[in-house]
Amino acid sequence: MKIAVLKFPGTNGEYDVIKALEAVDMSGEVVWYKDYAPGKYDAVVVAGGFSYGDRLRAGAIAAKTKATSHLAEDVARGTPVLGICNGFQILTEAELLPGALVPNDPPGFVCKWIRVRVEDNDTPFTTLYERGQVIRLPVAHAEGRYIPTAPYRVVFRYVDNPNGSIDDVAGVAQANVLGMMPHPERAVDPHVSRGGTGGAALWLSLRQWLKK
Amino acid sequence: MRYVVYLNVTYKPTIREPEGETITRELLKRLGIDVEARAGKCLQLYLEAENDGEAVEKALKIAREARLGNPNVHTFEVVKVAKL
Repeated sequence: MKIAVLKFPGTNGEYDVIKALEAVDMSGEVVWYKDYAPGKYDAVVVAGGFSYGDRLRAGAIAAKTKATSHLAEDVARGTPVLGICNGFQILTEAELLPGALVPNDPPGFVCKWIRVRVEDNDTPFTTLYERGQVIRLPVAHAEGRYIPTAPYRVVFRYVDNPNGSIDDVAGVAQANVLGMMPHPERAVDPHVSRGGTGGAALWLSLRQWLKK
Repeated sequence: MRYVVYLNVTYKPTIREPEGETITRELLKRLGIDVEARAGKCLQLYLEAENDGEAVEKALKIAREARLGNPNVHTFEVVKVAKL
């Protein structure tokens, strides 16, 4: 199976995703945005970071690239797509997910471990979680306040809302696309993850889903 | 002719804007100034147009096409247009 980890200028979470995939016996390929072609991958992860330095607003410029247009083609094809943090912001700016992510309330960059509750285990990325299960994941962002603008399907909800998100939304899905502000790739390896391994089941879920 | 169009991008009134709230509460109120502030972003677009009206029209078209504001949460308006 081929998993693309999409990288824009300023993306910095791509190797954490590769490591997380390897931890569950999968592998991923970092794909530079100019090299991304539709129809080539079984799944795509839009990694976190600060694409284009968050200029204009987080995710806005990456959302207007040809790579994101190609990604939309893969979404239409049913390819599972996960956007983490800045990846989530890119997916909302590209309108591949509903809503918008605006600066935190209270304002500022928040970087800490938080608890999130799994609200929906019927996505390619959450089948191995129990509905209602509370896991710990790290967040690191300044623009993570979710503002819903259309009917939305909550997959993760903050137990300790760190950014003022409406309805405590931490992650939403639409078809096979999931976007989330917390970082599941940084909560996999017990040797480096002091907050636990709550993200591991997400990658295992994807593996199981792709093997079907 | 070359024009500069000042495009103001701000959050819709229904969206809380914590930067402006902080400026209002922690700076202005502290100085005894009873004024509410809301923060936004002003972009200067340099473009060619035949007259002011066309410059404004072009700027608004660009703003919509390039999503200079996120229509879900922002409003944008031209606050000034000037011939260079």
